[in-house]
Amino acid sequence: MELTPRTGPDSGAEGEALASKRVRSKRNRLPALAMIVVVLAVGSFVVVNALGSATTFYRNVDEASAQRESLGVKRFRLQGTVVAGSIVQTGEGVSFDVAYNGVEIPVRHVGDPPEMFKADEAVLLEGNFDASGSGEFDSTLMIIKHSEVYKEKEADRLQQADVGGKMPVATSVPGATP
Amino acid sequence: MNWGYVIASWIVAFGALGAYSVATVLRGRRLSKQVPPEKRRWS
Amino acid sequence: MISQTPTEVTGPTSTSSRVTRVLGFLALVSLGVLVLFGLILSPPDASQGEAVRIMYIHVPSATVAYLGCFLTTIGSIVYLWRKSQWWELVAYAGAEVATLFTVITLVTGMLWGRPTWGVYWVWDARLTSTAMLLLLLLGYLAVRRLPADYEVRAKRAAIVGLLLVPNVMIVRKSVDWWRTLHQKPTLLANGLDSKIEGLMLFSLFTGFIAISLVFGWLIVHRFRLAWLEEQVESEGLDLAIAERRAEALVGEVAP
Repeated sequence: MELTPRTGPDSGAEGEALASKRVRSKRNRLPALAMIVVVLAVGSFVVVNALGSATTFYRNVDEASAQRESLGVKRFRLQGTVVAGSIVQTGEGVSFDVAYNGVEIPVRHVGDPPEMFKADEAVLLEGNFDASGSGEFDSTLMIIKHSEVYKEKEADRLQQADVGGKMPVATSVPGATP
Repeated sequence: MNWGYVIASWIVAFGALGAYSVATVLRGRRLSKQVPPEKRRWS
Repeated sequence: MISQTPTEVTGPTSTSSRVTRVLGFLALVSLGVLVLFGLILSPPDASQGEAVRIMYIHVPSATVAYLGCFLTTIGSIVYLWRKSQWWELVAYAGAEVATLFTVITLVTGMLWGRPTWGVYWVWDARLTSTAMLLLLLLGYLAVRRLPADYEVRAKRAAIVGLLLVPNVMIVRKSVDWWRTLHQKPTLLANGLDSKIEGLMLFSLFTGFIAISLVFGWLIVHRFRLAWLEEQVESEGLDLAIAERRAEALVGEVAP
């Protein structure tokens, strides 16, 4: 619908108001258009990323162990549970074993492990099998994989845990008022 | 441990909700004055 | 939402009404209860420690963001089907509020990920599909605001709006369909109290109530604001039509 008044500024105050509205709406188009362009660009980047890495986000220890030959020194994410008693601090980081489905892989991690790194916790490790063929996994990035289960920290466990944490309310009755 | 992240995320959430709420209400007040009362059918 | 009897001759001078005032009051009270339980009374998690408290706003925010997307897709369908402006404005309000809650979900999620996973972000299926949802919402808002006649804007936006619920389903199911760093849902999986205990469950429950009330309050206000915006817009249009008519008249008189 073409609603532009053909007369110039002599059409009075209403016409001027309209003219300024017209200019404003032309200027308003830019950010919206820019937004659509940005959305399309970032959207395609995200989709490519999703197809590339989200679907095979990690390999479990047993799978990686079985595919060791074909994997070579290719970088991938390894998922497994930290074996209790295997953690050794090294000069450049920490070494430990990860297990999944009864298979274990020794890991040499370079860099400080995350705060919540501990035995029996599931971890994702980014890295590759050692070039020497020793079967060791060289990890450069460690991510802790938490489960969807939440448990209240108990008072006796709190004592050996962090300082600065609040004392928990000792109750497990849902909906109980303090 | 980690109270910084907890407080930061709660501040982000409450701050964003508060800012958006205030902006929405203020804009509603401003636009209400430009619209004839018979078209504002809530009260 | 809209009552037929205005209390004054002048009508309300804001988007507030008794409904929103009651809703707003309840929202503020429940937010207070949420702070009390979420930050003070609930215990730290055995594995995550204090960081678990981020869950009490992260999970409800994600849920109401999905809810906003549902409003948008339903509103878009009804608009495309019956050209109902009421539903179109519901869709628009839903999309903007859903955008806000998606941003809150992503930011609180990143702040939760850093202390618990050790990283702010990974491109796993859950996080990637949520980022896609945010982009789709921003796309909806950009298309809806691209200057054009109301019917054109509304129709374009409604077509984008149709994609929101499918995207939400992908986000929801991503943790089952693909391997993700993000954990599977704690609630609604198999029974309530198996995966989360006592006061933590109660705090999460409080979070759902508080955030839902805030969501409802925001939707009503945003809907009314959208209505006002369209009134102001169409008033400008009426003005322009009147202008053209006046011009035409002048043209007829002058040879």
